[in-house]
Amino acid sequence: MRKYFRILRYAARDQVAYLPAFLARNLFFVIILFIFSSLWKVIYAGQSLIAGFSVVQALWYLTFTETVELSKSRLLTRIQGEVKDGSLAVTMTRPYSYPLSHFFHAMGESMVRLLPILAVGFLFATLFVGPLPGYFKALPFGLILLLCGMALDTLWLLCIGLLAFWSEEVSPYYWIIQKLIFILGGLFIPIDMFPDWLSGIARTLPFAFSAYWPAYTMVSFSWRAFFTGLAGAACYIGALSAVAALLFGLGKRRVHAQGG
Amino acid sequence: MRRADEGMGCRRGRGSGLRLFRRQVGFNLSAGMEYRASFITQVLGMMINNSAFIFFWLILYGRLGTTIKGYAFDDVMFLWSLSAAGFGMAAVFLGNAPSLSKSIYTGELDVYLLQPKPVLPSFLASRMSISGWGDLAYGAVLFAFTQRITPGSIALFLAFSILMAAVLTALRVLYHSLTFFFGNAEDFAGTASEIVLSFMLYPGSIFEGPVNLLLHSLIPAALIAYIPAELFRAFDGGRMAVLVAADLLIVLAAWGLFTLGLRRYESGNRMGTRL
Repeated sequence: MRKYFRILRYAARDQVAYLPAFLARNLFFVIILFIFSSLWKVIYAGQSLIAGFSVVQALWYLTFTETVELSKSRLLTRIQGEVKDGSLAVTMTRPYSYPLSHFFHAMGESMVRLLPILAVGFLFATLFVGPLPGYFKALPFGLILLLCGMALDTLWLLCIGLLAFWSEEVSPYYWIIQKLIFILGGLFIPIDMFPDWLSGIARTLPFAFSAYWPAYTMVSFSWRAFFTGLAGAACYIGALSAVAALLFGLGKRRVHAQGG
Repeated sequence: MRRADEGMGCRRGRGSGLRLFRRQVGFNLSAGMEYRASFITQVLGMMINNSAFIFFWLILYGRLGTTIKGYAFDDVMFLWSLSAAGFGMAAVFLGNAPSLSKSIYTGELDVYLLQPKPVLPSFLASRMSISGWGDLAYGAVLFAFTQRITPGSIALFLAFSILMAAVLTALRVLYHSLTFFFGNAEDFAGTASEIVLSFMLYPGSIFEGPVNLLLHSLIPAALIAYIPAELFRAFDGGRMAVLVAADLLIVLAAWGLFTLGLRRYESGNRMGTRL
């Protein structure tokens, strides 16, 4: 495994060079926080709690779900490009696993992006609605779940990228998964605000472990929330890893190398 | 190199410009349809992608059981249908606007300068975003399902969508034209365009104070979304005329800045052809 952690470290080091540009590109994160602080303040006018969430928790929740979303790497376009132009045949001859190397490379990139996004969220959420009670106590556990959420997102990107063996354009498949994370994962709105019949189902789906559970643990810390988030994420990371391995195994049979 | 504005009068009649525009759209469409499965996947994918947000608003309004500062669920859906249709039209018919900065700094504008047609429209219409068809279709379907359908309402929706497409494209041209003057403004232009798009999807009434002023000027979400939504609810001919004049001003400002910028443009001396 040491070589994969080395790939992760090199990807992270490369990513540091692009951080200023990355942050400038994500200026709209601040805009989204501003829009939602305006929206939540109007909605919370005259009431202190909605579905157990205060206005402070509702906005901070968004900073954590968006942290996972915005830290994502460009793994999908990379894999799709390699499958389309055939450069994957060259990468496959190297002495490491193709899907694992891409997974660790993408995680290296995402982990470097996570911290500045968290910092921007901290600064502007404090400015817009005030500090989050218990932030620093929940942070170490929340970070673990944020990393799990990131690993799940990376695995989705990997699996869908590998579909390029069969499909010319795979981005629309990812849009669908991304929107399922938006909707059922509770990216914009905590699952607790869903109707009862839906919230029970949504909490158990893989999408919730990319967004809801890490953010919920941060804004409303409890050991139960943390361990539920951790156990669920571990199960789905295992399942999606198996799917990625299967897709790669089937897909590589379709590669025709002719030398050159 | 010949200056761009010197050739502006040379056989660049309005009729021939429209004919070229029609041909470009037809050509782009047939090129996109070449890969039919990919075309359909992209269009359907974008429609599903957009419809996710209906859920967010349904949950929110379900929780609240009331309006959000004067905006009912249907009013927010009007904002979304208008934004999707306007954005889709811009992406389909004038889809090259986002690559203006790149074309300026790589010298790719040469190709358009050599044609005996107005440079800006020819450049803008030379690319079509296939997923833009998904936005356009989604806007039309959402409008049909959430709004009252009368000949008047359809005409208003169409007019507002065309205005939005024109202003969104003009804003992109305005932002990207800064590349002529200050070097690569691609990232700035991309972010500025996204900010406008982000604001126009939420009820305008939730924003107060200086931000409201910004939304009527530098980030004109009010001009392309909030005021049309108000006019759709209660039409007023006078306000409509002011709105069209304000939109026209933005379009003219964009055209003006682009034309000024072209005078500073230097050829990339690139050899290439457009097929």
